[in-house]
Amino acid sequence: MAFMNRKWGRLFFAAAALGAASLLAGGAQAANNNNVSIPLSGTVPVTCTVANNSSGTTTTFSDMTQGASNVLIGTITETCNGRSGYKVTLTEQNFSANQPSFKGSSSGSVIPYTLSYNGSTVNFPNSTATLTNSGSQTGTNGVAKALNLSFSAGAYTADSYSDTITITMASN
Amino acid sequence: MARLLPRLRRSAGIGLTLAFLAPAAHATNNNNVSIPLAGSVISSCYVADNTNGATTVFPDLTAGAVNILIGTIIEDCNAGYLVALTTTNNANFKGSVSGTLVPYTLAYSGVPVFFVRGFAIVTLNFRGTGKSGVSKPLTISFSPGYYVADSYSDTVTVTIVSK
Repeated sequence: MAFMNRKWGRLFFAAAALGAASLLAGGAQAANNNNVSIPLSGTVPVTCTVANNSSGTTTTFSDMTQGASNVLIGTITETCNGRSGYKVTLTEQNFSANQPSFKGSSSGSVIPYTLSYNGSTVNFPNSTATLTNSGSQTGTNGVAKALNLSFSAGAYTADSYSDTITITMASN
Repeated sequence: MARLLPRLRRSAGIGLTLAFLAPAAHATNNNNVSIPLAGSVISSCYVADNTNGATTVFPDLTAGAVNILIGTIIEDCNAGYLVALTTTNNANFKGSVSGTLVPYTLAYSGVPVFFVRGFAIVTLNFRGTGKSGVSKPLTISFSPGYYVADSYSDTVTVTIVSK
């Protein structure tokens, strides 16, 4: 009996292997085969973010007359899972004479400055500049890019100056 | 002598006749006939999904999933059988445009399913089930993560093969 069980078992495993082979070949046509299909579907929505590791803290220049050279004002992390890519733009509040500028709170005087993003000079056709135009998604951890600011030393009007830079990401 | 021989022949003939009749009479009292009967029960096996093929939808794959029921499979077979799983994309959701894969795992009746070349045997039964079959849950899990935005899909096929 045990022999028969072993024999039957071997036969069954052989049948199983044949069945497996049949299934792998897309067969499954034997009379005693039956199957059901369970469809699955899911969606991954587009999620694009920019983050600033300085968390919105204000970069303060205590004496602007001394000027500044490539001072890091933020590290921007671009993350986007859109397969068509994304665009990152920068808008500056006190754009004046085709340049981004600090603006005196009382005098209204402006002190122009320049920016570099990921080591490249930011060009402003108007108050909005394109920082990144990517045709593909980023990796899981995104891409970190440094934003640096420079301005010349000079005899500026005494005042309290400020400006605000806004960085925006949009999927393509 | 000439008259004795015919008598002897008749006697011998009677004797022979009796000799044949004796076993014949014995056979008559112990008669039997054989009536062979044969029949077969064709192996009948099926699997059913109580969700009736409804698609299980995950609105945001990035959130992941843990042991989500995608079907309850009823195995019903009056002979030894095996149940196998195959999937279209080898246990991966596949993005319709990007082709990106999001891997998942399955558990059948609480036991993790291991696919080899897209094929897994989840039940090996040598005796068949009872009349009502055996009901087993099929669940899916996948990790939360950063996945490429797309519409993803896969199809799990459950097949029963009888011996």
